[in-house]
Amino acid sequence: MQKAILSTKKLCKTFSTGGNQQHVLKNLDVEIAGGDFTVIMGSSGAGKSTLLYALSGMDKPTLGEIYFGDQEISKLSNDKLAVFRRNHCGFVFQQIYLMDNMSILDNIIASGLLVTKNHKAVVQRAKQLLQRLNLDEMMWRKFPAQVSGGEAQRAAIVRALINSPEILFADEPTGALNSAAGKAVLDTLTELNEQGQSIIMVTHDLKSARRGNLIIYLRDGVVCGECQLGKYVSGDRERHEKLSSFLNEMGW
Amino acid sequence: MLAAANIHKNKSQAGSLLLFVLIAVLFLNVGLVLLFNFDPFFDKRAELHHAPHLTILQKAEYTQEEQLDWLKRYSGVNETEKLAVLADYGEYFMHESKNVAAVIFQNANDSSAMNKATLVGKSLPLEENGIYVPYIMKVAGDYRLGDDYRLNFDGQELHFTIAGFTEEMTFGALMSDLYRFYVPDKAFATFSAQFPDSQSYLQTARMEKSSMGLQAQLDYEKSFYHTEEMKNVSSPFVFALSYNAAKEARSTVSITALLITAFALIILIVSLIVIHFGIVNNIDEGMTNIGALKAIGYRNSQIMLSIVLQFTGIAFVGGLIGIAASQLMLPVLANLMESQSALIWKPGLDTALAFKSLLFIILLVLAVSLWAVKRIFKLHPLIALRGGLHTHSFKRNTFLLEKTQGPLPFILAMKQLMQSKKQAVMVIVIIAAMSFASVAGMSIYYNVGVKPDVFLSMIAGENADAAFVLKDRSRTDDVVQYLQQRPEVRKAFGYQHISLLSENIDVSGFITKDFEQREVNMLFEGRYPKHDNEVAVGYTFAASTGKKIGDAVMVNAGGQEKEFIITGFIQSMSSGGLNMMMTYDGILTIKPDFTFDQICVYLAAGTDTTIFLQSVKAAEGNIFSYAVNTKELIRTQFSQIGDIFAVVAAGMLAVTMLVVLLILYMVIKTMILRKKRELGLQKALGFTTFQLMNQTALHYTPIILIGTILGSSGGYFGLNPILSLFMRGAGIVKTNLPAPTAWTIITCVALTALAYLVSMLIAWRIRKISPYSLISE
Repeated sequence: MQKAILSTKKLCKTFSTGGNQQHVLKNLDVEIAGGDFTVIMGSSGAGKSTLLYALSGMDKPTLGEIYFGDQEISKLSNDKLAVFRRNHCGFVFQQIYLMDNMSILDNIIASGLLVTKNHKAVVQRAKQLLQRLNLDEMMWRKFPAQVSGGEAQRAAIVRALINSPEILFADEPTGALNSAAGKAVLDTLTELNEQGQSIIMVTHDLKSARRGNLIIYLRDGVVCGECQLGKYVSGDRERHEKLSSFLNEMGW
Repeated sequence: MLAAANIHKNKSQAGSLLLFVLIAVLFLNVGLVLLFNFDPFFDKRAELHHAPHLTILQKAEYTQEEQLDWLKRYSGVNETEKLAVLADYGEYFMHESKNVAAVIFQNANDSSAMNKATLVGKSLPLEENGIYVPYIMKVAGDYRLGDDYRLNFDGQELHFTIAGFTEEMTFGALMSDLYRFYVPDKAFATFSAQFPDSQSYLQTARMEKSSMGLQAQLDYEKSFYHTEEMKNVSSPFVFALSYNAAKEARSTVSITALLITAFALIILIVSLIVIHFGIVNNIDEGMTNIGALKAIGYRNSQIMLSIVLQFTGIAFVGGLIGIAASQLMLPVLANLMESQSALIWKPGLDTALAFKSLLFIILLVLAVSLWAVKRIFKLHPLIALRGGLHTHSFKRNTFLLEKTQGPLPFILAMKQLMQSKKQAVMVIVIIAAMSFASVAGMSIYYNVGVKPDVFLSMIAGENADAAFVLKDRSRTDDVVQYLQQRPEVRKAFGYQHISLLSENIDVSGFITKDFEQREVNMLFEGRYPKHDNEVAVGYTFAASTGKKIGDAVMVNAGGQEKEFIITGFIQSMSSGGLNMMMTYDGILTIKPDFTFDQICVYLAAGTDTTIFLQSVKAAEGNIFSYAVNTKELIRTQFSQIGDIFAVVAAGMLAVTMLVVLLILYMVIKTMILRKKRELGLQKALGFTTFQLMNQTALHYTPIILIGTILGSSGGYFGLNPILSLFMRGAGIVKTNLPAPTAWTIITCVALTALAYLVSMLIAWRIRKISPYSLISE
C-alpha cells in the first residue's frame, strides 16, 4: 500500500446556526493513499462534502488535524491554504463553476498562471489537456454557457489538472449531467486514475462509486465502514456485487 | 411594502444614495439661498437704514448749489440730502498691513436721514477722541470696542478710540475701498480746520425705486462731469455712486453662490447617474424575484412602482435631511462672507425655496427612476426567473489569456473592466465631473486667493508694484523722470483713469503715452491705440453701441468732442466693460491741458515695495497725495475673498473625495455581491484574498485615472472658456487665468491613489468570502 497522501486525526466540524450547533464530522480518522480513487459515500447530511472540503483545505476543521503527507494543513492561514490548493489540489464541482465571463481556454489558463509565470508552457499544457479530454478546438474559445454540460465539466477537469495536482477532488461531478455526459466524465476520471492521479470523489450515485477502489461510507459524521475494491474494470460483476453488498450492509 | 422590503435588503445602497441626495440638496439649497436671498436681504437692510440710492461725493470746490437742485428736480427722486464731510486718501491698518483707501470723515452729530451712523452691537459713548468705524474693521481687521484706531489722513497720523461699529450700505465694503468714519462734533470741527483741502460734500438721494439710482448717476455725470467747467477735474474725490454699484461691491456673495450652485448641480447629476445605476443593478440582482412576482400575478406597474417609490422615498428623506443640514451650513458661510460683505446676515430657513429645491430633485429622481425601470415592461416572467440570461452577451472576450502576457491580476482586472464597460463609463463620467469641479474650484481659489495678479488685472486693469498720485500735476514729467532714475525702478509712466463720454455713454478712460509699456494685456482683438485719433474700446461698450474695429466713435472730454477710430477691443470688469483706451496725444486733442497725476511704477525683481515707498516718501514725500503698495492693497482686498474661496474650494475637494469614496463603495460592494460565487471559486482555485483585492482595485484604478485625467483636463483647459462665457456680461471676453499645473497634477495623482487605496479597503470584504460558500449557498 502506498504512503498516505492525506490523513486526518480526530477531525471534527461543527456548524453553528442561530445558536444551534450541528456536529457534521465527529472525530474522524481517515487515510487516503496516493494513487487511490477514493469514493466518499453516505446519505444526505452525512458529512460527505464537508469532509471533502476539509480535506482539500477549502474549509477549516473545528477540531482535529489534517495532514498532507507530513505537513499539517489544518492550522494554515487562509492565504496559505489558497497557495496549498493551487499547488497541490484540483477541483471538479457538481455545478461545474467555470467562470462564465471567460472562455473555456481562459478559465484553464487563469488557473495555470497562478502557479507559474511560464505563459507559453501553461497555454501549451492547457491545449494538450483539452485535446486529451477530447474537447474540440472549436469550443476552446467559447464561453461555458455556449457548450454542453458534459463538455463544460470536462473543461473543468482540465482546469483541475492544469497544475498537475497531487489530488483531484470531485464533488458529485456527474450530478448535473445526463447519463451519457456523466459516463464520459467518469471515464475520464478513471483514465486519469489509471495514469496515477489520486482522486477523491463524493457521490451518492452507484455507477460513479463503482469507479473507485476505496469506498468510505459516512453516517452522521462518522466513518461507518470502508470497502477496498481494487482497480476498476468495466463489467467486473464480482467487484460490483462486493460494492452492492457493502452498501447494503451500510444501510444505503 | 415591496419598496420597504427592497430598502431593508439593500440598506447600504440606500444609505449611499441618501447621502448623495443629501449632499446635492445641501449644496443646492445653500447655493440658492445665497443666490436669491442676498439681494432681498441687502434691499431690506438698505430700507432699514434708509440708505441712499445715489451718492455723490465731491470736493467742496467742485460742488455747486445747482447740482443739488438738479438732483431734487430729477424724475423719481423722493428725498435729497447734502452733508459737509472731509474726504481724502488715508492709510488704515488691518492686522499688520497698511492700506490706502478713500477716507470720509462725517460729523456724527449731523442730523441726517440717509447717512446717520447705524451702529451694530454694543457701542461706547462717542467722546472727544472716539470714532465709529465701519463694521468691516471688526470682522476683517479684528478690532474691538475701546481699541486704539490709527489712521493716516492726508499724510497726518491720527489716533482714536473705537466707540462703535457701523453697518454701511454704500461704503465700507473691502472691494469698494471707500470707508466712512464718524467722529464727534468737536473732532470734526478740528479736522475741518486742519485739512481744508479735504472739505467735501456728500450729496445723496433716495428714489422711487432703488434701481433708478444707476440712470440718475449716468445722467448726473453727463450733466456735470463732461462740461467745460469740470474739464480739468480728475480728482478721485469727484464721483457719483449708484445703489447698484454699492451692492456689486459685495459681489463675492453671488460669485460664491454661483460656484456652490454649479457644484450642487454637478453632484445632482452624479446622484441621478448613481440612482439610475442603483435601479438597473437592483433589477439585475432581483431578476428572479421580479420573475416570481410577475409569475404570481403582479402587474408591471406594481413592480415598477415599488422600485420608483423606493428611490423617490430615499431622495425625499435625503432631501429633507439635506435641507436641515443646509440650515447648519448657511450661518457658517454667511459668517465667513460677513468679512467681505460687511453686513450682518443671518439667513434663516426659506421654506418656499427649500420646498422648490426638494420638489425639483424629487421630480428629477422620479423621471430618472421611471426611465430606469422601463425595461421591466419588456421582461418576460420566464426570462426573469432564469435571471435574465438572454441579456448576457458572449460576443467579446477581450484580453485573451492565451495571447496576453503580464501579471495575472492585472489581465483579469482588464478583462473585467472590458466586460463592464457601461459601469466603467458611468464611473468615468462621475469621476470626471467631480475632478472637473475640484480643479476648477481650486483654480479659482488659486487665482483669487494665492496669485490674484491676473484675476485682478481682469477686474482693475493695470497692476503695477506701486502707484503714486501727485499733489501738483505740473511736476508730473519731473517726477516720472526722477522715479525712472531710481535704481530699484524698472519703469515708471503716467497712467490715468479719467471719465469720458462717448456715444452718450459714460466710459472709464485709460490714458497713457505708450500702451505697450503696460504689463497686463487687456486687448483681446485688434491693437492698442498709437495715434492721436485712435481708441480701443471695452467689450460692453462695443456690444451696446454695435461698433466694430475700424468704426468711428465720438468722444467727449470736458465739453470738447472729436471723432476717434477704434483700433481694438479691450476687456476689463472695471466699469462693467464700459472702457476706453486713448493715448496721451489723443486726450490732448480734446482736453489740451490734460496732465497725468497718477504714476505707475514697476520695480526690479527682489525689491521690497514697502522699503522703496518709504525711501521715496522720505526723499520726496511732500509731492505725493498718496503712494500705495499696490500688491499689498490687493492682498488686503482679496485676503477675505481668498479665505472664502479657500473654504469653498476645500469643501468642493472634500465632497469630491467623499463622492469618489461613495461611488467606489457602491460599485465595488455591488460587484463583490454579484460576483461572490466567482470570487469564492477563484479562492477555491488558489487565488489569495490579496490577489483578488488587488485585482478589484486594479479594475477600478484605470477607470478613476481616465475620469480624473478627463475631468482635470476639462477643469484645466476649460476653465478660461467657461469663465469667459459667464463673464462676458461683465465685460470679459477671453479670460486667461493661469490654471495651477502642479495642483492639477497632484489632484489627479491623489484622487487615483486614493481610489486605489479605497478600492483595496472596500475589497477587503472579499476576505469574508470563503470557497466553502460554493457548496453551502
